[in-house]
Amino acid sequence: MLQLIARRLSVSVLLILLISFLTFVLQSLAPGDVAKTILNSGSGQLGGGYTDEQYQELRRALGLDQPLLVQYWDWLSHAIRGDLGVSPVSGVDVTSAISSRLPVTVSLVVLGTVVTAALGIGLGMISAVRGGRLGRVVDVFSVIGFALPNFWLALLLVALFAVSLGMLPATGYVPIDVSPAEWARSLILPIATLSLSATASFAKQTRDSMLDTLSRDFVRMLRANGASEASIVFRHGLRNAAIPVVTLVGLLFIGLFSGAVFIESVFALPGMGRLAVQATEQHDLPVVQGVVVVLTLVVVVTNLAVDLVYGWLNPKVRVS
Amino acid sequence: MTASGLLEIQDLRVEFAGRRRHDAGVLAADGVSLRIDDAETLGLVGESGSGKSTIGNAVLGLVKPAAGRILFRGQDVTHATTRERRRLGQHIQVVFQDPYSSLNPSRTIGQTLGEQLRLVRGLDRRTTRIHVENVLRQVGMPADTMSRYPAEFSGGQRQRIAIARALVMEPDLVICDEPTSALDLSVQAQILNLLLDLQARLGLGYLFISHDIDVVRHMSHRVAVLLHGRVVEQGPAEGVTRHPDHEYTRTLVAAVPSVDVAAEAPPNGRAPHRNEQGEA
Repeated sequence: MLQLIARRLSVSVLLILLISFLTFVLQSLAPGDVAKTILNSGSGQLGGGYTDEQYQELRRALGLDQPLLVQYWDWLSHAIRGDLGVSPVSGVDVTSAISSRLPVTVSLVVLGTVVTAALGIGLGMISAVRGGRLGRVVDVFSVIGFALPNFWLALLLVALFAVSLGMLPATGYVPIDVSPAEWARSLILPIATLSLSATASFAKQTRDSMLDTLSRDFVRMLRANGASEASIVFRHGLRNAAIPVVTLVGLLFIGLFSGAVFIESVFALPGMGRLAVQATEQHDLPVVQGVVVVLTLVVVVTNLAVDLVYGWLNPKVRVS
Repeated sequence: MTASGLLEIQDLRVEFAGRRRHDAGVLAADGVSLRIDDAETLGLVGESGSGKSTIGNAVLGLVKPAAGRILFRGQDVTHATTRERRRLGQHIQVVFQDPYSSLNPSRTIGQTLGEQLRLVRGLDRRTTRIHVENVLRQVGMPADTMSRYPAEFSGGQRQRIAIARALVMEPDLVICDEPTSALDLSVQAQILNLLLDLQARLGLGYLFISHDIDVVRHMSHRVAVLLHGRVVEQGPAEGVTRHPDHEYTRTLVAAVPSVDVAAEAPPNGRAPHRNEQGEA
């Protein structure tokens, strides 16, 4: 077990190096650079307000005239020591920029995962155990959930609950330490948008997996021996049925981080997603790199956690 | 032989409803009457869909009969409640066809085998352990099997474990629902001989369900042939399988690929072996 963790962590170090380097290269290949962003923001939008000398001088000052590998090494050698640098655009320390944005995204993603998993697994289990009409309702609901595009649903929910009914705020975010109630209210619509289609696929997956488990001979044997339905479903069925669902939880959690980029823009939430979008537009390399490294870490840790849970649930994995 | 025998099935009728409301239902068992005595094997043979497994399932309470009665030691168990099933589990057990689906993959063999002893009989950990080890030894599995998971065993080993699971409650009757159909030929023979050996030692009654008339002959004292949910022929294993009365039974016998070889060679293998076992 410890060996597995150690091996996975050492692979993830390589992964982070590779991904941060790729991001660095891709960002440098994109037209324009941060020097232009800074000069443009200083003197209007037209871009004619600075001379080439000023531009070259700023590039030298920012180290942009150095070869790519040197720039990357410069960033890496600081990053290893926990110093993610300072944004050349806003002058804000990257670590503090990320740590002020991270709670927003984490609230969104963690709550989204919990809501989705709880609703989806609950619905799926009810429909598997009760069967019949309810099962078909879950099937139909999941097809609808798959089919509805997120952006359309977001607009619809805002129009209904925020604009027409005025029950919930359409945009904005209130930190939890300011007002927990307002914090929750500001997250309801974004989470509902994030969760709907995922809930549908969870319900479907749980239902199928549970039905498959319940049709096994060991379950028939338990029935023949007078085991109660609750004991069959929870003591014997759930652990086996959970295996594919756990995989889905991991994928969902990671997927929601990328979904958050879009949701944060629609609902004007000051999270990591918006930070990344903004920084990319401005060629703000240290910020982009910081966001990428943090998100890569999240993905790596999530996958590791899923694998560990998997091994606990499924003895076959432990054997091999 | 007691008046009521070990298991008695009287005029059993099981219907499965059609998919839609107006579809005709399927009669999986139609007026089936069977009887098994202590330490006796009744072979139930027929093609797939003939209703063999349905009869086993009805005895286990997994399907609800539309009519008829199932008596275990003279007591009507046709519509036993969950609570009564739990008590009945001490007397009637089952070995299913697929050893890959008949053991819970997320529990150790020890947990699976010990559970009923602890829940139903209320035995403590130590006694349960001794009991389970003992049963595993009887089916030829080492004691360290207990702490392992089903995934660590081959099909034949799993079927031995499934048999041990059936025996752990010390039943009088074991429903064997195609117990070797999923196994390799060589492993099949081992499992069949294990079942015969256990019967001789423990005096078990078997309801032995199979589509393979050769296997049924090898295993059974008496044979019932099933077609479309009806018993078309019933009698001593030798008589039914060597000199079938019914056209369908003749077809089943003819369908066994090795039948010509068996006819040419002297019958020193299967049926006489069965007789020795029966008399022992």
